[in-house]
Amino acid sequence: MTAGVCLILLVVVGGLTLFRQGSRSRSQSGGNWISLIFRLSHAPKLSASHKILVLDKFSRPDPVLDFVMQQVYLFDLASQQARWLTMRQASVAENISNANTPGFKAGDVAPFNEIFDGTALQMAATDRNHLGAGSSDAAGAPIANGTPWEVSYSGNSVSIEQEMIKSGEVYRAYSMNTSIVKAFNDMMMASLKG
Amino acid sequence: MIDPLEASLKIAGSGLEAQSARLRIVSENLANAQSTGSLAGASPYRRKTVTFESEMDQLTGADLVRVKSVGVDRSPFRTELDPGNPAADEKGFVKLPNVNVLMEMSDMREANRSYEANLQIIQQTRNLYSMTIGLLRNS
Repeated sequence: MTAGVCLILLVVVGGLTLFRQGSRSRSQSGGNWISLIFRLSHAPKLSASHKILVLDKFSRPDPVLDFVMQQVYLFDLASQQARWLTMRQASVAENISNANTPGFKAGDVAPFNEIFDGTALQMAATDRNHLGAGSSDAAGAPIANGTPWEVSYSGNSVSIEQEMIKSGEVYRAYSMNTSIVKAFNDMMMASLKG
Repeated sequence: MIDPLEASLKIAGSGLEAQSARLRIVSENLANAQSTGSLAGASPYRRKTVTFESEMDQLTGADLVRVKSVGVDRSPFRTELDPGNPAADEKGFVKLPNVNVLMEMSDMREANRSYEANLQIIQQTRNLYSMTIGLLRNS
């Protein structure tokens, strides 16, 4: 009887490990949840040595597995960067189309890392007299170009060359972004198919 | 806010439209560079000017561009002594349009370049689209 339980345990543990490694889109807590159910449902039937085996397998953080699981954020990060890049492309398109509009000031979006630097919890204002921290909507707010290359007599600060360079940067970064996502997807598929 | 890439296409499209309107005005000016009046001493063709303005699109929140107004150039006409012309006044002077061909040519070049830049943006935005769609393809 002990040998049968041990066999079932090994099969289930192996399956769960594969599942955890394969479905990397689940967060760390998802894995713990599965292990918790597993322990709750199987622990009373197992002998002491098997319990230790189960606990060792699931409760102690495995550095390699943790590292792999943290890569899950890459999809999120890549998607955020893609969104930021498309917004930058829209800003470049605005500048280019207004390249001959008198008085138009060229704009740009805030740098990508500033969005993370500015991400913070907002204080809730429950009273009118509370000081507001201000909205940190840095992602979509166009900011002025630091140094426009040329300002024409009509007050237009769009330089087509500068915008073309920015557009090229967006293209390169977007191409890298999609390549990374594709590579990561291939890795996932490889781990699923074996 | 709609998809920024779609907004880019819309913005660049408005740029194309504005620049082509400008090219149309330039071609009108060039075509009428020698158009005198029909009666004696009548005013000839007056050079047209075009101005742009940036327009906030309510749907996308993007700054589109549009033709603000088509005005006329108030600068004085050139005059030329040509007593045989039907439009010559009693002293034999003919008023010619205030169109400077060189200026129109440079205006045309600028409109052309801006048009090309907008086209480039459209092309690039399409590339971004196809790269995104490429993620779905089996490699």
